[in-house]
Amino acid sequence: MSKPDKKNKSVSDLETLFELLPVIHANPGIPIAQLQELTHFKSKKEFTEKLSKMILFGTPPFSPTDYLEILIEDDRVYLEFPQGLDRPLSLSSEEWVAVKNAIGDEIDSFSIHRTTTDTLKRILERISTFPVLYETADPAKNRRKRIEEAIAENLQVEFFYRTISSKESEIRRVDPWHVFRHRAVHYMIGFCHMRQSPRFFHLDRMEKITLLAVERETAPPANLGELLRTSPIFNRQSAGFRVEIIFNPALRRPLEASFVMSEVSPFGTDDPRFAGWLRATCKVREGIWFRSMIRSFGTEVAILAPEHMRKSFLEELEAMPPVTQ
Amino acid sequence: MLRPQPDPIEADISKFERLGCLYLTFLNYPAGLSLKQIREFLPQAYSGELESSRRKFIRDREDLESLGMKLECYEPGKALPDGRTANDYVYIPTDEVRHLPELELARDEAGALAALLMRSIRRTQHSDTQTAALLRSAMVKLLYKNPDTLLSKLDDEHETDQIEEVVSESDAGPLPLIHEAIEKRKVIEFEYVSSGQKKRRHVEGRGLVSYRGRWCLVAYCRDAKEIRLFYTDTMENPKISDETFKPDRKFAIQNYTIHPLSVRNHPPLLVTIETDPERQSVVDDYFSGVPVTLGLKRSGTTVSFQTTNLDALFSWMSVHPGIVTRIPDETVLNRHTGYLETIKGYYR
Repeated sequence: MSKPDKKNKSVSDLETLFELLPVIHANPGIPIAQLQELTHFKSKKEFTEKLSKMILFGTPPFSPTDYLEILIEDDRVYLEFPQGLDRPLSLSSEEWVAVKNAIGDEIDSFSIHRTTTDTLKRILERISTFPVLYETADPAKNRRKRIEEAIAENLQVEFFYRTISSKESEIRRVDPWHVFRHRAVHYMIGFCHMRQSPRFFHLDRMEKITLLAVERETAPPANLGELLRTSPIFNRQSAGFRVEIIFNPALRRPLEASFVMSEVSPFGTDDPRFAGWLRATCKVREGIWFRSMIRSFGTEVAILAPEHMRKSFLEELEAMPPVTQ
Repeated sequence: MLRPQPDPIEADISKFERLGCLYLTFLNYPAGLSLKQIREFLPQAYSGELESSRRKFIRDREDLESLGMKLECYEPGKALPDGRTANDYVYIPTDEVRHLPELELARDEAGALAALLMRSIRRTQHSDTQTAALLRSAMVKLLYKNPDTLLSKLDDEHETDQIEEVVSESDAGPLPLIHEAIEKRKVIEFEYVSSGQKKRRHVEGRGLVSYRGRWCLVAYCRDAKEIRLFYTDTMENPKISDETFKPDRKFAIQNYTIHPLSVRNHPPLLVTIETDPERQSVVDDYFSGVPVTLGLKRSGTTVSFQTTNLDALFSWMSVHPGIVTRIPDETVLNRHTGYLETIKGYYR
């Protein structure tokens, strides 16, 4: 186990060995080789010596029970008096953040090899020493869960999907491969039986997801990571057209979490509706998706250019089904 | 005159033992110890002149801090935290020793956690050794009851991990500082923009809530005198103050789930909507995780709730045209019409 830099060897050895005490206490007779694998010690001799030295560790006034009682017998390790270290110390703030990030990354990249999102969320909430709630309100919760179930059960899914080229929903039958979240948007990649090729789907555009009693015909390909990496979703430098937007500065963070913005500068207008607003340039591949994102920010964002995007945006607003009383 | 040089191995071992004993001693003496007591307890470690012992202990104190045991020094005559007066240099652990919450993981949970931590370690061990080391020490702590699951994953070196390399976008920001402040029950100060105004806030952290990849501190704001939520990524100049606070035993974080409908933009308003019966899965998703304080009620396709952010409802309706078919309340319906007209006005 390598330790953070700038620590001298005694300190780093001690840190490692103290971490092992709860492990030894909870697993009496654990093989010394198994313990060593959890550490940075390369030599069994050095590790055993250091472990044996801990017998001398004690708390004044040093009665027999005030010492750590470590016993190494037949290459197995036992610990009797753990001196308050029978349970691990709570995670340090840096450790907690590192684990939080690892779990967050895992949740955002769920695949068949991993446990369910809900299990990971529960773990993160339980390892914390104070109340933590992780993503309880999830706008794709049930849809994501359905697809996770399908992947775990190796089943095909069927759903209604509104495509980029057509505003009408159409039925798709797909072998789901992977669900992930990127820039606050949930996606699924899978083999689409209608298009006869791998396709990405926005979970937000999927409705009425049904798990079919039919096994997937295609398994996730070995180069799935490569497919994702080279996809327009992750390849930020990929081709697209420029869109200029203006927005209330209070929304800058959530906007940046949704898409890449550049050339951010004050809008500078006399129009009181936009006083203090900023302008920025975005590179857009999917007009419908982008306009949908802009709509989600309500009255605090507007498309400035190009004109055809402004026109389409207004047409979509005008075409919305009326809400009655 | 030539002085005998200490054997480097012996010197290392003695320091190893000395620090080990010191660590356990302070762990079991949270009220602190004077230098005199330390010398009495560990006479072989701190023999010789008082001043040289003190210098040696000061060096050891730095090493103890590396082990996570930070000691505050109180000079003679200074008041100690328990009300006594120091009659010598007294060293007291600054932080109360906290143990990991009792964590009973099912076999599959332990396996899943071990697997994901190992994948993260492999991903970071060359590019970010500090994070890899933190993950390793956290892993040993979290899975101390299940070392076998840990070892099976350590052996699993062939597992590829291309997907995570693509998606990882983690940025801690001020989270370590906030985590530390909540654990130590210390007030956090920061500047925060709310309703267009930047104000200095002094808050008592209660917990953390995440929503759509962003983290929010749920805290009692001493300035507003009520519980408020603050996005951690928009805090400016956060720092931990010396002021402490008592924990609120009645605090229930479930009441502070983040949902767009609970953002405070206007006084609470009771809203009823009629939704498209064909698209109930979308409705289910939107209202999942709504805080209990919103009093959500559903009857068939009718949904009633209290909101402090009508714009959030209208925004959802804009992204899912036709999802709401009817709004019986005329005021709310007019507000929706006004909302759409405002946006349309940007484009006419």
